[in-house]
Amino acid sequence: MESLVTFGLAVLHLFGFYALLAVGLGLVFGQLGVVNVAHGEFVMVGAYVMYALDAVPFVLRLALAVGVGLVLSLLAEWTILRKLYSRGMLATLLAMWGLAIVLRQVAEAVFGATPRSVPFPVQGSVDVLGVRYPTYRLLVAVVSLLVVGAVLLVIYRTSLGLKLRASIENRDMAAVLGISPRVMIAGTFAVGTTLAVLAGALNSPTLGLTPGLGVAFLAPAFFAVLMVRPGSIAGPAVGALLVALLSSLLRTYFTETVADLVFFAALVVLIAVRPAGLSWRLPSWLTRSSERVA
Amino acid sequence: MLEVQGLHAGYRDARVVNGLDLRVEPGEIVALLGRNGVGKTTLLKSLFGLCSVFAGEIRVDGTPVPGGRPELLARSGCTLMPDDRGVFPGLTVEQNLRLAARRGYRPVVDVRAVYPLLSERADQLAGTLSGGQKQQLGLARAVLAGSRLIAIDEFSQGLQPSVLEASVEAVRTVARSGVAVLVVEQGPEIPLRFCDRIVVMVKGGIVLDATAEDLRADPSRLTDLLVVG
Repeated sequence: MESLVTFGLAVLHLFGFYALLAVGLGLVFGQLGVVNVAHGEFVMVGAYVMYALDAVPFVLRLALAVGVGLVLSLLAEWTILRKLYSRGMLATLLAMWGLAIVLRQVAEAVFGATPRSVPFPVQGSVDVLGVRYPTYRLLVAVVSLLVVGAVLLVIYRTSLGLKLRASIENRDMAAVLGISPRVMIAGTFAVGTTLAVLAGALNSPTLGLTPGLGVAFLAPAFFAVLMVRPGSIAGPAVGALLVALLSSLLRTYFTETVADLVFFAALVVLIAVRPAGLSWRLPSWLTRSSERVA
Repeated sequence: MLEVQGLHAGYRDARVVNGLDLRVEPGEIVALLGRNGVGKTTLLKSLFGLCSVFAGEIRVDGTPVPGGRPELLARSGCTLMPDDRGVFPGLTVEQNLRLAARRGYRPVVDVRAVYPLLSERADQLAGTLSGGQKQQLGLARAVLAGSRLIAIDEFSQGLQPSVLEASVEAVRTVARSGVAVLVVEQGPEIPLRFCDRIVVMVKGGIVLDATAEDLRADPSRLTDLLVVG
């Protein structure tokens, strides 16, 4: 029982972290068609903002990190991506790869390569069904999932979200109905990327801060996006849960290195077998009968 | 209302519309006819900045239309139904309609009364509708969003006769309230019945521009241009 609770808490924490990352990554891919390989570096940016502004109270620092994320992502969209959409996915992927390198180098130039750490704002641990668990980790998991829930709520239940989904489905037609493609594109990139910055900021006390810390998070986040129906907005959150489960399971039974190896091997196999993502829908012969009644 | 002067438009390396002039007045229904590939769809798209304009000018109420910004034109009350109908497949019928509704504008016809199907299937995903049903949704959206200009590509595509009649009546009523209407059609029969003016395109330019009344008296002028051969 105890080990099950411990396992559940580990999954919950990873789920919150990867859900923030994957929903942002999926939104950006759905709206912009951009494979944002700099997503992990935005996690790193969030963590370093928390380190650099250590004199500021923690919650205010989180807000500042979100602000930095919004400004940085809007700048990146405006100066780099906007000119490249028409050149296709490879051009934007390479540009984002370049941006990732620049962000890592800037972090190294400013903060050095030695690992830094951010002190916990909340000490101590709480009792969860008989298991002692760090209070801050639990808080982070809950806050992360609440943020993801709020983002999905806005997308599926508000008129702004309706416009966003229309723009993802058919950008030209949405424009013909008065929805500005420029605003939708820049806004989606800013929100999606800032979710990654927030993930880095929230988790900064539990991370060892190095300029390359974001690299390891990119692949699992992609895994989460790829595991669901392409273009789905809520899907990556489900993918994040599967990633958290798989990764926690592997780490229970294997050493970290072997676990990572198996995890990434599974990712390669998934991409090789289903390059367009998995579709968790019923086979067509099961659903066909009810349709076609015109 | 809509003025097009010396328009050259098309795609990156294909000029499809060559030096075209066109006017549509408020309350007027103009049909654009022509064989496949003469540039009717490209003309409509170029009005909304959805393809490249190489030369010429498009003005709405005397104001030049900015290129590549369909949302600005849309906010001024001009809308387009493209030939693929442009419904959002992953959104419900009701959500599709809600996106088209303009604040402060209620068309003189109630689209839900014209197309009762849209109320019956309000919560159905638009992607699961049949072609003719999508056409009804596309037309309803165009009527909702177009307070000044409605451009419709392939107006009668997929519509059964009774629904076509209802659509014709709806468009006439909307036009009588002052909305300019530009419809693209394949054949001359439907436009001859309900349009005010008929414009025929050949090879990216206009070769015939006459009132429907004149053409009803002498339909051969029209059919000669449309028959393949």
